[in-house]
Amino acid sequence: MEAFFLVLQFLADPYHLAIIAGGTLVGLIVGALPGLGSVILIALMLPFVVRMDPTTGIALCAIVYCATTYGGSITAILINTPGTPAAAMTTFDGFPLAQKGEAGRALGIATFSSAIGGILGILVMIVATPLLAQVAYQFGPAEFFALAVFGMSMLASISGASMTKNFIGGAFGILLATVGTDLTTGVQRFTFGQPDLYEGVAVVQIMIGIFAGGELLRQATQAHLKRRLIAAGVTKLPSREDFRRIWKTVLRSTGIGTFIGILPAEGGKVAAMIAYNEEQRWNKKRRGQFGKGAIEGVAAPEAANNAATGGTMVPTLALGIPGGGSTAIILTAMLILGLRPGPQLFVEQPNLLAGIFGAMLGANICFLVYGMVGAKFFSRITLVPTTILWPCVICLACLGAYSFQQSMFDVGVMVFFACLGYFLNRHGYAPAPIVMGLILGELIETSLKQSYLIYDGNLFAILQQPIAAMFLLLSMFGLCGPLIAKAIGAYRDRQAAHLRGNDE
Amino acid sequence: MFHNFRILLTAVAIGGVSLAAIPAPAAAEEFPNGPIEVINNSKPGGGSDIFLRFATEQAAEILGTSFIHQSKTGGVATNTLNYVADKPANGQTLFIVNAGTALTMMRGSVDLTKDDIVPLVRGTIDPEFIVVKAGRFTDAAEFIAYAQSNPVKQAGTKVGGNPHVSALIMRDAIGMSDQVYVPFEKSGEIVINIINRNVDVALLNYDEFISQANAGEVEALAILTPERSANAPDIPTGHEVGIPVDIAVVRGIGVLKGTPEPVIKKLETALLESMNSDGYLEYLAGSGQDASSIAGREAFGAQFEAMYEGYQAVAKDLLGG
Amino acid sequence: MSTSQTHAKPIDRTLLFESIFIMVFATAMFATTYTFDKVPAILAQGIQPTVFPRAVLVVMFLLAALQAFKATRLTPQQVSDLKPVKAVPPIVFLTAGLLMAFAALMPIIGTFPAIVLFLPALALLWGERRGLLMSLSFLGFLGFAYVLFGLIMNVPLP
Repeated sequence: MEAFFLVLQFLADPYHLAIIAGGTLVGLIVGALPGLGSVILIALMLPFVVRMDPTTGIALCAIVYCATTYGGSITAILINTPGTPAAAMTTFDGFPLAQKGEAGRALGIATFSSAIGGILGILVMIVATPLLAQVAYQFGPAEFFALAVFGMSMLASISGASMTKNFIGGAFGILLATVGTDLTTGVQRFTFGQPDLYEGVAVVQIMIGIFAGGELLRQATQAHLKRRLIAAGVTKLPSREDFRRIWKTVLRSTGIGTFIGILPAEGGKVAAMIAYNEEQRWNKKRRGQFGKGAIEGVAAPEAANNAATGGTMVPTLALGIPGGGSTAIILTAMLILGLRPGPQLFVEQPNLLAGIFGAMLGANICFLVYGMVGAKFFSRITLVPTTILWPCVICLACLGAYSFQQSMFDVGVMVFFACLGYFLNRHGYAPAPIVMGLILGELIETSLKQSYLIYDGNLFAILQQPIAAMFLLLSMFGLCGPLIAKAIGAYRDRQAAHLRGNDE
Repeated sequence: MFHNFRILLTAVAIGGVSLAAIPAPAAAEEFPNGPIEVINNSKPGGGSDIFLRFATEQAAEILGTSFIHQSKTGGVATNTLNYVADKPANGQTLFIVNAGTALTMMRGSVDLTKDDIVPLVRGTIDPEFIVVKAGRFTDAAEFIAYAQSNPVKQAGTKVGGNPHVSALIMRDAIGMSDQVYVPFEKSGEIVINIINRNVDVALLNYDEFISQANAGEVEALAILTPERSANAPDIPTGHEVGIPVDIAVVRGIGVLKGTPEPVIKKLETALLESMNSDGYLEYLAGSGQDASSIAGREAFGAQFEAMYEGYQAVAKDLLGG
Repeated sequence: MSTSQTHAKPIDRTLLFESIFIMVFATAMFATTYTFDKVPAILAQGIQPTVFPRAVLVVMFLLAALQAFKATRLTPQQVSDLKPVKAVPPIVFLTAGLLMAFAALMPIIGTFPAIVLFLPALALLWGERRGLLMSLSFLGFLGFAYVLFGLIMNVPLP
């Protein structure tokens, strides 16, 4: 109870409120820009942050971190380009909604889900950080391997042209993830002598290419079509009915997001992916609508990736072990400011924690306001004629791809995947499985190899780890369930056809 | 573009005084001539990137110019050094000098050798600690005895990179019977896997394990420096317990050889002044270091030389030579 | 692709062609794994670097083979669903070409001059003819991009 009082006290200070309002706005814009994200922004701010008083400085980092995660969804919905990798899943249903002339609705759903997911994630964090932090200790390579396999098993249940194509796409994604230096032997793989490839292909560039570039080429074929979108419809916010429809989705995804966020080294992108896939698997009512503009498909990843920002702060603060790139820099800032994260932080620095929690709560409420008001304006972007909008979008994508590591090679990668993305999509190889393979592929291979070394070459030892065994069992169900269902369906069809045949 | 524009503006401002100055070699008065590029081999937000941002922060004011930080990742420091090699030796391009720089040059994958660069200033010398699960070994002697007769799983990052070289130096110093190097991406994962006993030991920096040491989950058996650290006076040095090696993460800034001496002097003075500011010292304190980490050309040059030679011995194994 | 009625066995040619392409790709990549550097003895611990990519490629090849097989064994339902595939419209290639030209020009003539050329070129290619609208919105975008990347983020663009 005292904790909540301290949080309120932090939020009562007008100076803090100004920081929240300003930081959220900047974070929102940078998050929305493809290629730029919280890691770059916090790194840029670091020299200034460490001059501030510790609570305000760390609070500002936390604010920016929350806001960029949400900001990624704006461009994902409006121009099919995830502003941050964590927003990749949001494009699958957000962009179709915008295409249908319901950009305002999609943005409203994303804003609402993000804020609720974020706020609930933080509340869980306030109540249970020391307790939750224990989960992090349980996750070694074997557990991560099982979790990643579990993620990949969903290839069987996500919608797409065909299950075979999903699996081929997934394999292609995993293959892309193997490019670069092998972690356990240092050998270069598929680099073709290019030093630029030694560190692997940056996920951000591939995503910008496949999503923004692929869409550009698709739009090229439709530029002559006159789209008739009515301004009143485009800027319309979600109805009360919409909110009623998604609240269960938001709660489920928040749970998934918080859990995955807590695991060290995993962040919002894996959380969003698993939440989106789980939503597809469990939401029987909307089956078949995912990927075509289901609002649940926007709500699930957004609630999850924002909940994960709360989650990643748990091991950072309670164990001094960062859960992702952004929290790693926040940790650096804390150390420079003379703060030692760890279990004792909660006893010694209640004000600091109240400040961080308060700032994150404030940021979530703040972007809820910005987002709901802004949705009316942002959504008008879809009214800009295609011939004007898309040249600008692709320029932005190139600038973003370049800025990430100031490399022209990255722009080349982006352009290459733009062309590839168009043809893959044309032939029914959806971006979702490729992105899943790309994100999880490295985790699967790395954790498998680490397990091999840890268990002296006996990979069956993975099955003896209870958590890992549980996830692998779930994967089996995930993988076989749809296959069995399909087989039964096919059998029934055949029976039905047979019966019809007899009638004739 | 804009950045050329800014160079142009500066050039016009300077050129106003002497128009014929363009082809003449840059003397110290004309340096810096526009923004100074700083190239590092880590991703934005990585350890070296953050070090360079802090180290150059005050220098911008002192030199009256701005610093532009660029990440050229790939092949340890291959892309960084290749980029630098194409630049004129005029002090407008600075770059990270660390173990990765040395290792990359040793491999010969770039045209630059250690004789083509001047290690200008040293910014960090972050000692490594031998870290194990708390309570597993009573002291370093017990660990050494264990390692000499049992296979040891040692965690670290980057196979074939400098952390691996450090692990091999430690292996040879202890005389381990069998060392299995288990690589992880981040130091946070290493700490967790020490705690849940997936691995036995790791070399970690102070700020990487101290939270968990305070929480009683891990402990440091030794610090690999000549003298004990002020932060952790109870932890014996490697020399005291029979592991007589010094291993630390050394980071500094370098410039191309051939840069005019007055320019080098000016840069060295400015960077040293910049690093002796409160902001930078606080940054050092964050990882448990103090002003003794900062050093000028002479000390850093000698240290880089020694580091290069020390690595060469072990690195032969790694490079498949 | 047309499903000629005279054919005894209708085949989904697009799918078959795709699958063969994937099989060739997987084979070529499989061959590439043999060009990886030899692992120095001291690093040869655990799983070899070629094992995992090869496994993935084998899976990919088998899936493609399965798909190719399915393309030749169509159910009557699938046959009636077969639609002729339209050729890729030339505008796609032109747009892709323009994009590549833009990426190539960026380091040569500078980012912002390249954008100044690229924006109207693509808009014109796509059939936009409203000069005033184009110049106003593109100038606005240019200003936005300059302020954001140049001034605020201070990115050293080429």
